[in-house]
Amino acid sequence: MQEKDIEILRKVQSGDIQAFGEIVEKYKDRGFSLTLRILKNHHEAEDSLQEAFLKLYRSVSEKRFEGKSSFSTYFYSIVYNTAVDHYRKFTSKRFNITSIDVTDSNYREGDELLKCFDETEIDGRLYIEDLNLNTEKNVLSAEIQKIVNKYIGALPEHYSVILTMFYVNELSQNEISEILSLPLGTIKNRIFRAKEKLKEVLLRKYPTEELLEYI
Amino acid sequence: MPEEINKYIDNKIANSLYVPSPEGFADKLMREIELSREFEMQDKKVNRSFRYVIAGMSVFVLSVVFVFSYYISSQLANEESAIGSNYNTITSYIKEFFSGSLSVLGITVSPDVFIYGFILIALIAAGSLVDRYMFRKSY
Repeated sequence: MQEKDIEILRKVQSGDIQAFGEIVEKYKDRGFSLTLRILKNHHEAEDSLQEAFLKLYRSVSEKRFEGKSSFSTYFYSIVYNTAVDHYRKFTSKRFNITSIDVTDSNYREGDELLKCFDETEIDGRLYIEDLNLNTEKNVLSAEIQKIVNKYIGALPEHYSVILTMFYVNELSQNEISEILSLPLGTIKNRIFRAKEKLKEVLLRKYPTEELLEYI
Repeated sequence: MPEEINKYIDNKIANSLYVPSPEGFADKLMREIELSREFEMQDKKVNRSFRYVIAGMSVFVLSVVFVFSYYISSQLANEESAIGSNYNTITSYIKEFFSGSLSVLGITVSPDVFIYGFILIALIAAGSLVDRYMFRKSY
């Protein structure tokens, strides 16, 4: 995958503007997911991602990307920094990815993740009528997806941005740590805690046996 | 916890976090890139022409100065005019000042060396300025 990207970048450097279209097609949705997670506004996210791609194009055509880090790390660091700049510009606030100190000693504490997630609002029966799904398996899957969506929507940015980088942008924990300039331990803890809390929520509602039956 | 449940939850999280970009995003972006590329090329052309004009003017001014100084100095050599004597007085002061300063240190150098030295320094300074502001793209 990385070699294909490098080949495309070489074409861009030799002046082939259409080759850059391949990069855009490949990364636009995953880049948008990250930008939207930071800015929480579709219009701003679109502008920010467009600016990030323009920066990438200039950087590649002027041969400033030297391949020291992987292309995806390079690209997502541009996307992240551009979105954070937009956030500062439009909200006059500082985007704080380090607002909670997570150390090895307190990583099991994660109750703040549940504080902002009101489970009582979630009742699978409320969604069933709208879903128009045939099988019981599909209904359950859609119900669970709704719960996950709600949980993710309620997560603070310092968790959701890291989760997006990990699950959608497919960056390794080391790469995320490099982009965000946070210790590797913090990245691992946040991914672990966010996932554990979600499991807790789901297993409280659906016992393991029931889940296994439908997976 | 069975591995299947872990994978299932991972999959659900990834689905939830994934948001496709707005329709037509790529087309809009590619148009924007093509436009910015065109503007950049036009800017480059204008900058290049501007640099050549500046360089041409500098060469012209330097040539005029050199020709004019050569003309004045040859005139002065032939005619012992008032300006000429002033010119000779100034250059001889410069020569005497530097040769005097160096002789304190025990160094003896031909007085003409200072004049050539001044010309050389002026040329190097002019050359580096032209290079810095006109021919190099960026530092």
